[in-house]
Amino acid sequence: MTLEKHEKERRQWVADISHELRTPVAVLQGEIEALLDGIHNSTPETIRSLHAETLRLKRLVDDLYQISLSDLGTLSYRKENLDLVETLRDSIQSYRAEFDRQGIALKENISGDIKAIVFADRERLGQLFTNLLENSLRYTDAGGMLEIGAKINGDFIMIEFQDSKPGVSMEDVERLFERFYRVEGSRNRSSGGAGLGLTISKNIVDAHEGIISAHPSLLGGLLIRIRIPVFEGRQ
Amino acid sequence: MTEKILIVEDEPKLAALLADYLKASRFEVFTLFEGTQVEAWVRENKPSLIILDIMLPGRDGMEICKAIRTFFPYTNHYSDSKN
Repeated sequence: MTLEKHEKERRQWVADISHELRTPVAVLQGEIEALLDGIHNSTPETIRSLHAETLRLKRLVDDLYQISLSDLGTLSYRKENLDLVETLRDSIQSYRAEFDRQGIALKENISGDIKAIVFADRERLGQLFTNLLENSLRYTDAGGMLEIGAKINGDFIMIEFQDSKPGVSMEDVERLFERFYRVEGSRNRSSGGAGLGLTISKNIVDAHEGIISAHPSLLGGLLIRIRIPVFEGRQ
Repeated sequence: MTEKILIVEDEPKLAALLADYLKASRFEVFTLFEGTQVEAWVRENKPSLIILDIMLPGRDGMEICKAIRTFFPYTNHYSDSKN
């Protein structure tokens, strides 16, 4: 990459960060001023709204910090031998109630005996699966479904997250892993995402010598496919 | 008669804040969260003022502003410095 292009990308990155930080800060500032001006009353509800905005801001800053560390090559991974399937099942389990609440079926298509020992950071893998589960929650219409499958394929474990509508165009599919990229219509912050989840997911998969890719799903939504090398697997 | 103000803003919390301030000043306030319905709404309701975000889902604010000027030719518009 040329120096000029690199510099342009860096500037774009800073501009995007500033833009993303501005809205939660503007909301916080506005809501606090409304309290001071007597436009809003201090109620548990208004305080909760301020708190939610602070959490959103913190999450954004944490995500940015993690990406920066990853860029610098100083994001530390504490790797050990672990069963990836177990981590995946734990993540799925912790999201069951939320999927139920939002009326989205969560289907686990993983055979009972499957085992995949990988050399990995348990916490980061958990973060990877959590990001994908949260994306499906945000971007799947109520009444739809998310199907999660895992199988051993040679020296790899292949994990698939496949959800129903709305779908993603081919043009968008190719750009999903770019920083701050959001599909038109999902830009509204009420859906929650800043467009960093898949960037972070890709960093995590890369750090485990794996491959992550996005495709249109047969269920009508998005398919995220991950391949991570295993050194001891059982189908 | 109270003056009608339309807010077009895709961030619900910012829209609600603006609306609360304007209501406290006794304006009649309406809010739309995306761009596609704005033109038809304005034709029908003829607001005295529109507070229009530029980056909007559906149709962007500049385009909406141009469209409104074709049937409200004397519209003045002011840009916020941040945009």
